[in-house]
Amino acid sequence: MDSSPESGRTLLLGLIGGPYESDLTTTALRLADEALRQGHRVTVWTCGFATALTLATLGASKPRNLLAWDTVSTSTAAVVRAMLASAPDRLTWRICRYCMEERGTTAQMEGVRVTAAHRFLELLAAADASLVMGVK
Amino acid sequence: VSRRRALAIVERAHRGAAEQQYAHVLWLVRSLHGQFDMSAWLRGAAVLYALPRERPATLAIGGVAVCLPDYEAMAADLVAAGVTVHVSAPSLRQLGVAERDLAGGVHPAEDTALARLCEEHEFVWFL
Repeated sequence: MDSSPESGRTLLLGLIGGPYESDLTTTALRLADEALRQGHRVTVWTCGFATALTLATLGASKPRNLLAWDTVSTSTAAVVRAMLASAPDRLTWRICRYCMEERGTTAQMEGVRVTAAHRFLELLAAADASLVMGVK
Repeated sequence: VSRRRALAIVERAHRGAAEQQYAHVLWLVRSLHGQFDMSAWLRGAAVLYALPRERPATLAIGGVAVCLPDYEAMAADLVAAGVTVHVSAPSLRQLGVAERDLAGGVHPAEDTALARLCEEHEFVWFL
């Protein structure tokens, strides 16, 4: 597959399941990261509590580890922020507005796009490939 | 002053590597051990935490290092800290894991032992 940005394909990843439930989020992040590394365009659509992954209030790191005080663990928001910075023209991280408001996860970090729920099908149609993961 | 005894029953495993990193359920048990005399009962897929493994590789996403949970190291820490770690033998058999492959210091047990353990602990928590 040609990996130049111009010829890359558009991948839509639907992250529907909540974090802290399984390794779904890790899998989605790895898929997105690898697709970007290969020059493709990625849209991540988050629903349900997946909208909490990019809360501005998460800050750059997780709370300090009481059992290993000097270690620092990156927050999911910081990971997404780094992904957006590494591919600003090829990664779009979307937040389902309905889910965001339903869950109260409205304090989203800069860089993500809060999107009306009905646009999901439109984005699906525009994608060359899509993978919807999880159960809302 | 003796600490109050608590039994943590853990059966769900791998609940979000990128989200939890260090803050997984075994870390919680280890943290609680300072306040309680903790024991753990691993069953279901969580019995895999009691297998010795190589340290997981660090994952890089978007150029940012994400430290993956090291469940097995924490299970060893639990044993070293004095937490009694029981492992469900039926769950091991279901997953095709031999008891001889378990990490040192953990105790395989039939599920019938769980009722007795519940009697022996003041608190029983499903974590």
